[in-house]
Amino acid sequence: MAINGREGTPLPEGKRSQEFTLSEYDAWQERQRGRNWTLNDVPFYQGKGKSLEQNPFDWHDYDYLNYYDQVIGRKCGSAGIGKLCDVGILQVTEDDDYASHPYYQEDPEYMDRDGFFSSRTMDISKMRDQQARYAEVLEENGVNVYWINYPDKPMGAYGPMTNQMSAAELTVLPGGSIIPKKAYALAPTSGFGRTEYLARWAFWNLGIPVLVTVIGKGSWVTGVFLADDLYCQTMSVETNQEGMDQVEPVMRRVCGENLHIQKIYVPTYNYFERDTGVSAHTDMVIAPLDIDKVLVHAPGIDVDTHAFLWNNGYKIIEVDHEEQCAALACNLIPLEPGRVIMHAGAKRTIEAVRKAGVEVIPVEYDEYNTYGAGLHCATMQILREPGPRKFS
Amino acid sequence: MVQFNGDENEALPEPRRSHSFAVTEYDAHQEVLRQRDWKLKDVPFYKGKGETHDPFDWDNLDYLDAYPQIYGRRCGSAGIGTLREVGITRPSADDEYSNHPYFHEDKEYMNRDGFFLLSDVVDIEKLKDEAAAFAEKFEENGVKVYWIEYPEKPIAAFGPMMNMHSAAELAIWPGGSIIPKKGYALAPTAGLGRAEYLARWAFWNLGIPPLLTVTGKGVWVTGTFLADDVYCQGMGVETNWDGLEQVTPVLKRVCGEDIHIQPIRSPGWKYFDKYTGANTHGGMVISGLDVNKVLVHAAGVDIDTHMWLRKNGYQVIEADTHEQINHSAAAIVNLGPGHVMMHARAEKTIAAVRKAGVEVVPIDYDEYNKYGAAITCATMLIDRDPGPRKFS
Repeated sequence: MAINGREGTPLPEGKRSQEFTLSEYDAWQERQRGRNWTLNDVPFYQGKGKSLEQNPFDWHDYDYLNYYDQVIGRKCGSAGIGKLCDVGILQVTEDDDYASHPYYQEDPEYMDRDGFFSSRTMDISKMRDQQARYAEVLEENGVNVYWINYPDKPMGAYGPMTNQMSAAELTVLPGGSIIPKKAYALAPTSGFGRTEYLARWAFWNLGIPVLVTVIGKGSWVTGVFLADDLYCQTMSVETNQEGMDQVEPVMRRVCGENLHIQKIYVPTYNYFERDTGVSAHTDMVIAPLDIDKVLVHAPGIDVDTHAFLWNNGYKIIEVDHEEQCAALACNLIPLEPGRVIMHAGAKRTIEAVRKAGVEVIPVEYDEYNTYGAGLHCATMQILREPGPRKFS
Repeated sequence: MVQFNGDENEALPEPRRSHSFAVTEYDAHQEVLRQRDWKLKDVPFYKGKGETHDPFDWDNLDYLDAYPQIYGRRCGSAGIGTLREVGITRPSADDEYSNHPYFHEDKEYMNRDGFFLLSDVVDIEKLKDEAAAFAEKFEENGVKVYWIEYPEKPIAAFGPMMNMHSAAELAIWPGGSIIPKKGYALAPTAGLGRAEYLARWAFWNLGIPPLLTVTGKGVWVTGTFLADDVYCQGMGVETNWDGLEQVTPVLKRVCGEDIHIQPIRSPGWKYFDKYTGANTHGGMVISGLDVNKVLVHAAGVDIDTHMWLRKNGYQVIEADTHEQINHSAAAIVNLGPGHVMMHARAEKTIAAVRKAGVEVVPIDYDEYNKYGAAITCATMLIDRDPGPRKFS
């Protein structure tokens, strides 16, 4: 029997993937249906009777970035430090409580081994409150917030999912998203499938297509843009050269061939070391503050990157060591050049950032911080305006 | 700004919504996984409580080993193994291209690349009957059929969509799909957006993620496999070297580094030349019949490819030229090694193929042929068994 998709009884709503009542793609289609289309709407059309004069290879000069928004009905992409416009963050649920995860109960030492979890029991209610307040702050600062829901008890490839709050796992670049491939101990255990859910959510509900999925034996997780033409990527237990080789050509096609990619070879094999503050993830050790100002966790950055920053005229603000370990001080959200949201617990670092002339909006986020995540991890940056460039 | 939950707007009437399954295969898989009693022994590389774990173990996990666990299915047609699943589009009144406003506005322009062939009018009822018979024939031959539905009056980037029947536009390889970028005159006019719809449909409903979107100034449409390690790509107005260079690394990662990629430099600049039967799409001029047998339209295949086929011991069967022009004789659907579907009107070509020891299932597909389409174009090849390899 051929399948037409109407077979089967729908699952209860709580067990279904989140589907907007009206997807942005369908809303766009409906608006476009109302237009009076003529061939003048078509690029390269030269007029009646001139069809044979038209170069059949015209379309080979037409860049994907010129038309993708006509297909999906929106711009997307956060690849720089321009004004932040749209984000996605997760609704917090009981499933976020990692202490109830069967693997944590079975072998807590194994689950703790990469430094992700701290020993405190999670306060879900507090986490919800903090997330709601974070959404309000974003909204107050001119950012649209999409609330992302996972179905009840979401499943990864190898067990019940953990750390659903990490919405930043889905990188959204101009024209579409990147599905990464995780490689550190905790995430694959129960994390394979999170970004895939987010990518599917974003494609269906917002129309944002996938530009590339990291495959083979590549591993890659997102880095951080310091400007529209400057991207930093930690090379670590979470990103290998093979992964970078897959992502780099896509990134250059949508961000520009002259994009400078600064690889940071991190000093650890863990995701995060609570005593030293070093981490495998770029957003834990470096963050943009303005076009010529950067916040770094100095011992988490390799010497070549330090030299690059100094030699390119950056004013470097260093995070307070204690706050890096306890409050993940580098894990911030740039709202626009010279304006950022930071963890309220990173008081001394905030003071140093403010002293450098950067406006800081503090947000309480300690409940997330206790298990190795921060504002940047929790935020799917969907759209930014074009921002300043460092080199051109 | 605004916070969105996805339930703010009223749903469109069903015919104007994207085709969403009552139960998506992804959600059904999630529900199955929820029922399992998960233990850490289900996790790759877990060695037991108190044991030492190499943090780089996961670098050895290939994407192809993990994706079926995430999405609940395997996918991919990259060879000539037994065909298991296909998608075909349900015809509707929107397939009547003579109603398209651009066709009314400048018929010569719309016809210039040879797409519309024999008639100004499409018989929609006949189209529906042919599609239904095509689906039945697949089922009789053990192939699961998914009906793909577009919403009413689908809109592409630059106007009302056309040629929605071309489900083959979405290439599905092991692990996911490739979103192409069209480059010839008709398709961008009203076609940019079709493959995107199909990719979104497949990701949401079947859990098949895009592996790559062709971007920048690359143009690429799918080619055809002669074996699990031989892929032919028509190069021309629809595929340039930039497009192929984007796709090749992905192809090698999911099909094997040793896959032979045979570029066929198409003669002419049109999609289809009605005087010679040449076509810029690989699948219209060359088809795998068995691991050592190939059907070609000789005047549509470049000299290097002719030479390559003979040097590699292929038995080459040539399509009848008249049948190629009128019935796309070289465009087939491979059901498995030595077992193919062909256009019923291509009688002489069918006789030649049968004489070569290949089983042929004839299909009436005249109405589609009228506007330059074939069963190959109409079939999204979703899944095949591994099949024979030519070189290893």
